[in-house]
Amino acid sequence: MTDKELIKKLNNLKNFQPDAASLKSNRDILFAQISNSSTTYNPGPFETFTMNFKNIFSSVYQPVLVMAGIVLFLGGGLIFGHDLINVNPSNSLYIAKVISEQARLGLIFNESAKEKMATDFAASHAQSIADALSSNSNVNSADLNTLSDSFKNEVSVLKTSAKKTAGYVAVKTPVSSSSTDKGDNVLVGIANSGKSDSGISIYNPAAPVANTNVCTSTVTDPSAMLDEAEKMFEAKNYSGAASKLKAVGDVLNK
Amino acid sequence: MSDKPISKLKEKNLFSRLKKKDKDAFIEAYDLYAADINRFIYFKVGSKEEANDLTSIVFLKTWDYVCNNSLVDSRTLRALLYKVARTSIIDYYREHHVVASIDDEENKIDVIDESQDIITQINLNSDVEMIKDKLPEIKAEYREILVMRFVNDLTMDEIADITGKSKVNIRVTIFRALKALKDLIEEKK
Repeated sequence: MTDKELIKKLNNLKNFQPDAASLKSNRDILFAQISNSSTTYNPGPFETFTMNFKNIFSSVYQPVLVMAGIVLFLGGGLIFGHDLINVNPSNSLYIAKVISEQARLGLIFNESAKEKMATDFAASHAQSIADALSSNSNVNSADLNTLSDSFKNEVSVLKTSAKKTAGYVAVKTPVSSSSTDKGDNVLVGIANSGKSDSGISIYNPAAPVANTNVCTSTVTDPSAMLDEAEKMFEAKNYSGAASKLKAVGDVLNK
Repeated sequence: MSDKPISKLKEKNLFSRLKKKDKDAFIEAYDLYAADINRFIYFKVGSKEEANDLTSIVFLKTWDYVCNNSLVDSRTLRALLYKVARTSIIDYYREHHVVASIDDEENKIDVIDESQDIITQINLNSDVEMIKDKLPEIKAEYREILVMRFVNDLTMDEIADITGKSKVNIRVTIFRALKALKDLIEEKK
């Protein structure tokens, strides 16, 4: 005989039913005995709800409860995060936006994609702070200080991101030339792979370099651009800082 | 099986109401557990009449306990009822100096219910016969735990709470009890 068979035999004893009549008569006697010693307890709707909630909460296996909480947090961040996109930093819901972004970052496992998204978020934060300061004249000095600190933090985050993602960045910039080169393009290359800082090369096969009197090599180093934006911010040129940060975001995205 | 969480919640709600000394909740508890408690007592004392009397005593004692205590030390209502049942049986034996149990030849187990069909009755009868013959031969501790676990479907946590032992200890005891019972049955064959 196996354990299973033995347990099955023991389980068969569940079929034993006590005498229903005697249980019924005992019930009546018991009811009569306890009736004098107590009253009926009638909980209100709120009390019933609290009791049910407490009992459901205590019935659920704790790790399952923790997992459900995490899923709810992340899911809520994903679902409601989009509604918070246009919330500015002076709004009390701004923290919810930041949490939602953290949740979205937490769900990305690809390092480069995560880096890109973090950069986007930091750029958008910095820009929204600059926007809030430039548009809202009613900001008091305490809020101004808080937002300025936040801006500096975001810029430092962006700088860190820029250093990490720094590599070879090539952009095409139109050249304003005085003579025959009008309309041609110059390819400006910046090598910034960390190996050498002297990797700038300008290539224009159509004309000798000496003949071009102006070469507008646009600054495309994100760190330098961020420095500029920071300087503009300190000079209270908020709109200039915002547009500069937008440009930084574009460069980093490329 | 699917209604297990619901019945668990129902029991918890019942226990919460009982903590407020609600007599209706107690009567509901009686309807829910009287049969289980009666069965548990019956397999300990071996007599239907005594089991009925003791069941009544157990519920009355439990009500007294509920009225005079805050019930903070009891995990579930079921565990509380079984605890009271165990002490009531011990008290009963002390008072009456009874040594009767399932193994007594005079206390024949007669658990056949007329409402059950013949095949079930035959199966039940043979299983009960086997239990009748062999259960008394194993230790009382083993017998009690086997009944609680496999006849009355108590959880390990509840058995541990009732007996005051650890879950690991209960697991080991169940394993040993099953082995002891199996050895006895196979020995006979």
